[in-house]
Amino acid sequence: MRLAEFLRLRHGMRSDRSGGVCRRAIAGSRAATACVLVASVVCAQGVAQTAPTATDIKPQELSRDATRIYERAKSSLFQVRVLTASGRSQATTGSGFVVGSGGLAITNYHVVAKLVLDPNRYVAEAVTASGERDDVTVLKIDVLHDLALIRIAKRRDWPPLKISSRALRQGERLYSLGNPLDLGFAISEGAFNGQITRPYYPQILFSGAINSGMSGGPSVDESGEVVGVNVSKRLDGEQISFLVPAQFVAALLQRGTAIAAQPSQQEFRSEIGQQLTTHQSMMADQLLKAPLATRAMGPYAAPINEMQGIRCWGDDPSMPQLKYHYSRLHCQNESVVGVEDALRTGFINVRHEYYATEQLDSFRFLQIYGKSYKNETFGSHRDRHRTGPECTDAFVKGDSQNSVPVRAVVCVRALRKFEGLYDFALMAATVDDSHSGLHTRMDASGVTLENGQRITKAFLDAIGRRP
Amino acid sequence: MSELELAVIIELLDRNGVVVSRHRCSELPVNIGRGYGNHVIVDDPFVAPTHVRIERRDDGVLVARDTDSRNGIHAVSRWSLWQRVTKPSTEIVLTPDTLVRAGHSTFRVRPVGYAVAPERLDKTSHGWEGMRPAIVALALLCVLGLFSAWSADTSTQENLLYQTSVATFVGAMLLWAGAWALLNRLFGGRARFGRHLLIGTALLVASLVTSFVAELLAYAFSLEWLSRYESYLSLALLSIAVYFHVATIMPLSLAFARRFAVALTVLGTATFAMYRYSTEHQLGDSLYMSSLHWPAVRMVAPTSTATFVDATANLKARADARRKDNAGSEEF
Repeated sequence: MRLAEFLRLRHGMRSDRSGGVCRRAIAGSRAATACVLVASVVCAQGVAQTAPTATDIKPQELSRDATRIYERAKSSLFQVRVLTASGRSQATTGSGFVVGSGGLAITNYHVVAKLVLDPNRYVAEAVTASGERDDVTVLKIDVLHDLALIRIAKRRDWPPLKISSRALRQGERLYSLGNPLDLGFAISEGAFNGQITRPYYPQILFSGAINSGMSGGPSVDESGEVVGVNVSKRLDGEQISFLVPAQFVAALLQRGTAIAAQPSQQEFRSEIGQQLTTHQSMMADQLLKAPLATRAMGPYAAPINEMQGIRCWGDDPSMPQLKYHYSRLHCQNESVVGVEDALRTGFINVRHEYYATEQLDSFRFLQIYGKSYKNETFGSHRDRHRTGPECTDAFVKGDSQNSVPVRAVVCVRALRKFEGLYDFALMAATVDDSHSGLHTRMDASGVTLENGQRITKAFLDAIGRRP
Repeated sequence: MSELELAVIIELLDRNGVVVSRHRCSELPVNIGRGYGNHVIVDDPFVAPTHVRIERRDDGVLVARDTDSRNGIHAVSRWSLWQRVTKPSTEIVLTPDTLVRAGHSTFRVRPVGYAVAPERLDKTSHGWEGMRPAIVALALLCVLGLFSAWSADTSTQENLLYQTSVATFVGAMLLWAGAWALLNRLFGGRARFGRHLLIGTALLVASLVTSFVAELLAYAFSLEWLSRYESYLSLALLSIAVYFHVATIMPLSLAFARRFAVALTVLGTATFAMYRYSTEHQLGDSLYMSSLHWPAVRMVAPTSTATFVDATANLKARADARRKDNAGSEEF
């Protein structure tokens, strides 16, 4: 790709920010908790863009380093296109880079997810800057870190990039490469800002621009060695982007080099199932290693999923004209595992709502309190990825001294494609008072029966009055 | 036989089988036709000037005989829907219930000694017509409207809440009763609007009270099914109301009203159940018991969390069984 064109494209991106790329997953200030992978997967979609008009073009001077690095890396760089098998029309685009001999290369899992999950309906191809095309097979996937090891079928002479293993310094210059929005190959400069510790899977915070379609592309240091793989960005921030650290690329490469051909759909499915199972058991163990933390909501103790990477947001929308008080607390995992566009799993979310009144009689208070308990959804059986909810409900009381009786309902949904994994949803309402009460909703997605039961029990046991 | 016993009554009927006119004839034979020389004159262009003669045969049997008309005479059954195309008869033996059609006119011949059904005891409350039931209904509707507004009155900024609520209740019920009154006017000759208003209102009160009591009972004894199938209870109540509405329209056909209401219940319940199953894969209104009440109402002790959570193993089995139930949308 010619440099002039790259500049133009970059500019085109800027002017296009509001229109194209991604939508916020969660509206308002709560978007601060926005799911990173949600963003990234959305971004991976090829977005058909019209090229900006000539008047938009304002070439910017790139540093000479960038020119040098792009020149060096461009022959290892390619675009990954996932196409429908029948019409060969583009379903997803991303980027990738060569890491080893024999056409071994790396991209994001989410770029090739369609091919992995449905190899009968999708194929993939690699397209280089000079327009060469070649078929792509997927050898090994790492759903949790969002990486895939792929092989370029025939053209095995593309030079590999070297994977860096050194520690980076804060503020170090990094260059991110890829093909944003299917416009052409691009390089963008930014700074390394440390590894953030998401719940389990660390990522590099990169202060530079990454856009849709650059997913799976390499981020290199000044010497041209790969330090990370472009994966996602925050939609509510400016130039807040994330990279998968190179150490996981090295690990995947090591595990997958020996694989000769693309595993079958069934093999991939059980591989994903295993990775999700590992993930949920880590998650459950971390959550349950100590008694659940609680937050005060009125006189009640509201248990929360205090884990690394959890963000809790409180909200007290009680308006003065209401004759009752109402406040909310919800805690969400900042990262979820994205298996497919519509299948995000591997998280535990908690929401509490506290209702109380001094002015209202118990009849009217219970009407409001009951309506909110009634107004819960547990999903539909029409869901492609999950079965319909199967529920059971009862009056339940926890074991602890401060436990209060609750009316509780638990709904279980099976993940259709991944045997042994379920979504557990718990809804509980305290029933010890007629003028105040606490609603608790807990969702544990992608857990085994045993862990779902453990987590549900822990939450039920912890709901109570504050000592 | 006395002359009185020999006399017959000729009844001309309309298409619905309702008697239009009666003619008493003390001696036979009797001629029926369009001509002015007949005993019974029929204004029907499809009837001959002298169309049919009623006479007593030598063996004493009463018969209708065609007097050489173009269209002839036909013995017909009461339900014209099942009428078969028959060839005209020249002679029809007349029983008190035989209907004879000549052209487009139908008649029946009965002896004066024909035994009629005994007098029915009049149980109609003649006082409960018109304004009186309407006023009671409107008063009830106002109470309902005010109560419903009161239970929704949880904010200090609800302007006109009470007025709107009353107007909604009254307006909706006027529409409901109006529709029934229209049917009543069509099939019963008069509207009986006040009665229909009271029947509808009584149903509304009954269904609100029933569902509240059902919810309370469900909560007290943790009877999830009672809460989850509440809609079916409301459907049953609706059928009872339909029975009363139909019985008001046709007070002489209570059996029909009963059959109609039962058929409606069966049909309604089946349709609702099918709808629920197709949308949610379950028959109940909701997945769980969803109303909450006073702590003192609860009569059952709470279960332990361990027991409750163990029950999810069954849910797992059920969910597993459903894992592939929409496989049509995608290959597995």
